[in-house]
Amino acid sequence: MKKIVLLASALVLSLATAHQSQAGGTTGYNGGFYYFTYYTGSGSTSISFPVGGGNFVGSWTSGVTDSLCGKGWNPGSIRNVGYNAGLLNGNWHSVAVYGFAPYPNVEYYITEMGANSGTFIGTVNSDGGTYNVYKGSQANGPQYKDDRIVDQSIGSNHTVTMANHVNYWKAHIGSFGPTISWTVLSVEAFGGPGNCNATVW
Amino acid sequence: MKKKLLLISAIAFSTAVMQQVNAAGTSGYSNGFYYFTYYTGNGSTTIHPNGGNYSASWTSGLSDSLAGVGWNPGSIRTIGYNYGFISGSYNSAGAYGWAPYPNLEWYITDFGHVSGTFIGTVNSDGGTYNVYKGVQGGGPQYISSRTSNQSIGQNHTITMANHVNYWKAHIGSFGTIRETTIMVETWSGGSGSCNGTCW
Repeated sequence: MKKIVLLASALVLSLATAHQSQAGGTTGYNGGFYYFTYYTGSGSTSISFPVGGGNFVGSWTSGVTDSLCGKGWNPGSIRNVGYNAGLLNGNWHSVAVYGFAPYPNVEYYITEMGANSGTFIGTVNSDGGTYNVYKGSQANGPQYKDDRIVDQSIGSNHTVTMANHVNYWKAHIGSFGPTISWTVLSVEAFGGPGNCNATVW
Repeated sequence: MKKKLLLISAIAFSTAVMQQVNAAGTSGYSNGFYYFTYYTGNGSTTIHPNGGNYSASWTSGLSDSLAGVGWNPGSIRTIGYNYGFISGSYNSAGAYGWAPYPNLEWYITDFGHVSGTFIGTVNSDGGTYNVYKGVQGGGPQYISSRTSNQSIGQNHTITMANHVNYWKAHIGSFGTIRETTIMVETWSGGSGSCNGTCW
């Protein structure tokens, strides 16, 4: 009986690896801003725009393995990102200026609340704080990940001067840009449920 | 993006981390269509977008040059296109874009050739495509390369779903699509130009 169960498990496992991990998400524009969600696992992530403009409300259910939602600009650029994360409830992992730059295949984070890490590269000072700079990988491509050592406050206006980070990356990690696919403020969670309300400008 | 360039980048990266590849480009929207250029090396690539139509030219001396138009955010769509001409130096033309989760670059090449590790073949739109997996910036490339070129100056269709379904079954996941474009790439270093339209 045990052998049969094991065999059945092995079959399920091989079927599971042959299938794709469940992934969902949406992208579009609202109020002149780009928005996106991406989520994996058995839950889901939704985004809504009760106010419009740069504001968004995101919520993710329990069961999500990874959940991202955010709003900003597409095409992206090296800009001063103003933001206010007014509300962060439940399970969340990080709030970051986030996006992609395609040559090389970079996923980037400038983490303002919560933490992101990888292989430590150095530190950069910007916007009244110090950030640890890390290099990570996603699908074997590079991630440039800055993490503000002391979290920014919830419910206050803040600025991320991207140029300070980009200049550091280019000097100490590798190429970045000129093409930037997205520049968004993103809230990421590695489980749920949770919700957020944030605005970018 | 070209592999030899990547190798050079990797060597440059390992020997002198400060060394940057000279890279430039532009992106934006014209009458509802997305357009972009990207180029490295000595020279430049110029694009004149007009909705779904564009003309582009690239000078000699470039290590890599890409120019295209299409849709951003992208989607798995049936792409109609017509390349009125592709002159001078070019290596690949067809559908092209990126998908972030996982972070990959994708090609469906209808003219010229892009290759990598051979995976299999897929039949679509009256032709056979070799499917390859490649590497860009350490991340994956999903590549379908039509075994016989399409014709210049005629309307053609790329049924993306046929390729995406094959990729998902035989290479790996393919999710949110950042952009879906028609694009001409050259990595041979010569000058050239093109005029294409998508719908």
